[in-house]
Amino acid sequence: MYMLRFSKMYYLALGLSLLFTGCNFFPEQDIEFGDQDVIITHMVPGTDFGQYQTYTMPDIVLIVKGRDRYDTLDVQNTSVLLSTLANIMQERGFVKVDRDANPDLGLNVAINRFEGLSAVTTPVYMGPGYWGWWGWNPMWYAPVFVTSFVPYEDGTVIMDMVDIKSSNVGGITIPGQNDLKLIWNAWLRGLLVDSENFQNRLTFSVQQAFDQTPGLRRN
Amino acid sequence: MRRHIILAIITLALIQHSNAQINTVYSLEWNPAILTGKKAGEFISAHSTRGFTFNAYAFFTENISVGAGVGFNGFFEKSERQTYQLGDLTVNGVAWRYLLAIPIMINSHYYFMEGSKLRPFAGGHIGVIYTNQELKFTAIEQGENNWNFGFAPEAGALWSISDGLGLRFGLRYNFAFYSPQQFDMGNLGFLSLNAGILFR
Repeated sequence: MYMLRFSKMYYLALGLSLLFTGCNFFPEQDIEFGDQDVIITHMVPGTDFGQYQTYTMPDIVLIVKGRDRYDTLDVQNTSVLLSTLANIMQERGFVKVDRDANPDLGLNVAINRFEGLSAVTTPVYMGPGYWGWWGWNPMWYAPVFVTSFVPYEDGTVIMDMVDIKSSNVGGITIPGQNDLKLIWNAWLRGLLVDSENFQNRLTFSVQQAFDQTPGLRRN
Repeated sequence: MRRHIILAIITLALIQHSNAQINTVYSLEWNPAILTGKKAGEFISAHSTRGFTFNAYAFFTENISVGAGVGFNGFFEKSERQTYQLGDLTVNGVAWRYLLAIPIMINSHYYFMEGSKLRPFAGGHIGVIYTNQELKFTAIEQGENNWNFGFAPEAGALWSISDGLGLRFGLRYNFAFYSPQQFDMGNLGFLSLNAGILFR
C-alpha cells in the first residue's frame, strides 16, 4: 500500500512537472537590443505628393515632456536627425526653403516624452507646445493615428508633414487652424529606450519611415 | 399509463444499474502540438510545447467512457523585422505572434482489449474552442478573442500501472470553425501528441 501511494505521488509529480513545462501562458518576450524600435507611419489616402515642390523644416527638435514642458534635443543629435531628413526629402524631389518663402509643406519633428499617455482612438491630439515652433498658434494639437494601445514611457520621435499649400487635400485638420492639414506622420518608437547606438537607430528609423511610404515622393 | 410506468421502472433500473457500474478516472496530459493549414503556418510556423489537457472519463461499461475536459495550447513565435499593414497604419518592427487555444469539450471513447493492461482506444471530443490571437509589437498590438464550435477526434492507448493509476497516450486533432476579423486565417486545426497520467 505504501509503495502504491509512493508510486501515485511520483507519477502525480511527474504529471505536474510536465504540466508546468507545457503551460507557459506568458512566454518570455525574448527582447534583444533594437527589437523595441517600431516605426509606424500614416499617410492620408489619395494624397498626391507630386503637387508639392517645396518644404520647410525647423532647425530645432522639441522634446515634449508635458503639457507645458518641453526642451530641445542636443545639437549633435539634432544635426543627425535633420540632415537625414533633408537628404531623404532631397532624394525624393523636394526642395527645402525658408519658412518665410511660402513653402508647400511643413515638416516638423519632435520627441514625445509624455509618460503614461495611451491612445486607442483615431485621431488623438497631443500638446500644446508641440506645434509651438511654427509660431502660428501655440495651442495647436498634433493629431496622431493609432489603432491600439500605445504606451509612451519609452519616448517616441514623431514626424509630421502638413500641407501648407492648400486646404483641399483631404487631410486631417489641426484644431484651431482650418487651412493646415496633416497629410503624413510617423512615429519612431523605442529609440529612447537605450541610448546605445542611438544615432544609427535614429537614422535607420527615419529612413525606414520613408521607405515604407513609397508614395511620399515628388519624382 | 401502465406502459409509461413500466418504461419509468425500466429506466430507473437502468440508471440504477449504470450508477453501480460508473467508474470515473481523470487524466492530466502534456500535449505538444503543431498547427495545420497553410495560413495558420504563415502566421506561426513554430510548434508548441506549451499545452496540457485535463479530462474526466466516466466508464459506463468496461469499454465505453463519456466525460468532459479542458485544455490549453499556446503557439508563440518571434518574427524578424518586417513591415505590416494594420488598418491605415504601416508598421515596421519585430513582432511577437501568439495563438492561444483553450478547448472546452465533452468526450466519448471506446476501449479495446478488455481485461488487458494495455487498452487502445478511439473516440472524440466536441464542444467549443476559445482562441486568443495576437500580433504584438512593443508599441502596438493587434488581436482578438473568439469562441468557436470545435471537435477533436482522438486515438491512443491506456496503460494500467496499478489500481487507480495509469498512463495515457494519444494523438488528437483539434479543429475549430475559425474566422477571425483581423487576421487572414482559415479554420483552425492543430495536431497534438498527448502523454500524461491517469488517476482515480
